[in-house]
Amino acid sequence: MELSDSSLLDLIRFLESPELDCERVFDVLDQYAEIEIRTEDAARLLPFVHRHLETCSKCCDEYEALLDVLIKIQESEGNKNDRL
Amino acid sequence: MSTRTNQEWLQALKSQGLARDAALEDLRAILAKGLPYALSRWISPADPQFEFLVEEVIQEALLRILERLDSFQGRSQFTTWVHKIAIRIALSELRRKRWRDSSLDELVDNEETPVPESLLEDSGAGPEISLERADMLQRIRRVITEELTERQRQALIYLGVQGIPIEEVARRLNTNRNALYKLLHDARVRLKHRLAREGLSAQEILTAFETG
Repeated sequence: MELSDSSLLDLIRFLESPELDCERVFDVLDQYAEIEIRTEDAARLLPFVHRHLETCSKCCDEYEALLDVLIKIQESEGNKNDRL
Repeated sequence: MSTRTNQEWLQALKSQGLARDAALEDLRAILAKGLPYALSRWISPADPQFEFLVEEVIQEALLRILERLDSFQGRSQFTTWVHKIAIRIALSELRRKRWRDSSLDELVDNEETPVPESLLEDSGAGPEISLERADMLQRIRRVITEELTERQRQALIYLGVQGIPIEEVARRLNTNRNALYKLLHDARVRLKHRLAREGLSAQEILTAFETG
């Protein structure tokens, strides 16, 4: 199958996209989220993750969901402890 | 539910018998508590599919966690790692369902017969620029043919040209996500090196077609 000119350029554009770095970021996403929860400077400690999350919506979705889960669990455990 | 250190989680899940069963039960409870927070970002808890999806993702996550215990590097709490895996499965599942519902048939129809489209026409570019672009495109075609395996080429077309989600591409190529990333990484490195030897860079190519 011969690729059209525009398909050829889409392919070249894809080579430049951050998509292929997603796995590298996913590997440390849990670590990154915990750093953020401890209110340390995650962007400085893991700058490549920070840069990637700014441009990759898929990874950013995963990251924000993880952060949400961790925060809400922390809150619910805090509430439980308050009641004890 | 008992609290465990990372080491205790790993030990229990790698053991046999009651300790493992208890750890799996606790893990299921942890996921059942956390996952709805994540899923409710994309689907309403009132949706009839919500509970089914939670259960489906938990099942798949437990399997994947057990498979990948050796890849846990202890850089976070074990339970954070567990939530991360479940969230990826949940998102993949949601994307896959949406993708299948909407556009797969359309894509399958089109993939063997792309619409011929020339970027060399109607661009308003002068004859010199047109020639330069034609030469560039010809060289890129040759590089792709010579450097990539058929499988690498197909994966790049699915992802980069047709925009099919990675999970669906992995399914079509009968592989898994990690193996597919490895294949794509190799393809990217090969193409970039070869383009560099030809005196071309991806950025330069894109710039040449964006102007005039």
